[in-house]
Amino acid sequence: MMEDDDFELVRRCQSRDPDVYEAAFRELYERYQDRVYNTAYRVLGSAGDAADVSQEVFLTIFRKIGEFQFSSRFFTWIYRITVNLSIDRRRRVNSAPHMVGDGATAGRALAVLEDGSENPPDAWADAEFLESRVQLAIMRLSPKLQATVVLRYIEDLPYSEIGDVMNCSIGTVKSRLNRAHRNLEQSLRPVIDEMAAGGEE
Amino acid sequence: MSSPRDSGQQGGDEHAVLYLDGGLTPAERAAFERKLEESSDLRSEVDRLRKVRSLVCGLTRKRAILPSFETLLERLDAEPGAALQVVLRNLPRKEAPADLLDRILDRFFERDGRRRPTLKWGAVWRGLVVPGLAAAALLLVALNLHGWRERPAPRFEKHGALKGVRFQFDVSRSVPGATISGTTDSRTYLPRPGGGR
Repeated sequence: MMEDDDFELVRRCQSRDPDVYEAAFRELYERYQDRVYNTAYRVLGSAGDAADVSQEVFLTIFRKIGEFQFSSRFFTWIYRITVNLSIDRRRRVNSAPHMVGDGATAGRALAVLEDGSENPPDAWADAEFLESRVQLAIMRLSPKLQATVVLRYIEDLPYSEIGDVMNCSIGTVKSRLNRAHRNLEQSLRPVIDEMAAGGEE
Repeated sequence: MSSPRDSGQQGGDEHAVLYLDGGLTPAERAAFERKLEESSDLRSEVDRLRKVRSLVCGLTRKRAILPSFETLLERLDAEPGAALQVVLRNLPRKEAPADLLDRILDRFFERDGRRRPTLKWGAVWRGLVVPGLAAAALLLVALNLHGWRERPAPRFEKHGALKGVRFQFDVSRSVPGATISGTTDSRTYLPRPGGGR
């Protein structure tokens, strides 16, 4: 059985003493809420959806903490639940990328992404605008490629952990990362060209 | 299965992305760097992929906008199974069927105002009925085996002396008006007299 810093916390969560397990769950909630929310947000692109899914993740953990077998790292288990619930939610929602952040920013971002027609003079220097465009490009990916990109580039998980989370081999993780990156390059080409043109000026 | 949205540019060196990500083995990395030195197109491609990677990796981490822990607990407690889960977690032991029977009988006699018989049904069940049933089952198996062993296996042998004998069977009880007839040949087999069925 592998050891993990979180195992002691999990054992306390599995305690029969209500005072012990409630305190342990509170600590778990505070320790992981940012990671869970951030992952869900990057897969779903919406603060509201990310908050709903994050609550579902913790409710699932609270219900199923007794089933945790200590055979993998605890945060791998949490990420697996987060990714699965986010992907399920993503598939239920309309496939077209919808509002990211605020509507005005997202609208401009989508216009540039679609055909490059809108080109505000200092768009590429606007950090929030740039982030919206990148987020939209991520959301154009299929759910599994999205999840791979988020787990690798944003959550910085190694390939082996990503394979555990998504129940696939390291080879599959690398293949998905390659495909996702190529698709992102297609989507973000206008952005990169703008940045290059702005740099030359 | 890839979605239609994944049918973007799939060309280019597939090691380029992994090279930027540190996902190549030392040998693969060395081979790829040799290719980089030789190809300006590959260098341009890697440069574009590097910019994409920095854009994605540069996304800010979002702070959670979630309800308080107390609110989450309230939501958990409001679920139908939550109260049951708490009870199940704190049950000291499993209840044996005999104990359950005792409790039901206690409640029955209490309600009726009568004194409950001192006979312990659980003890009767455990001490008499179950062994009795087991013994009966063993007896049946034993008798069956004994009977089977005593039953001689049928033995058959060839009766060459019966070759050429004509026979006719009336099967009109099964098929009205029908008979089966023929002549025995060297392949006819009959049970040995005095043994077998």
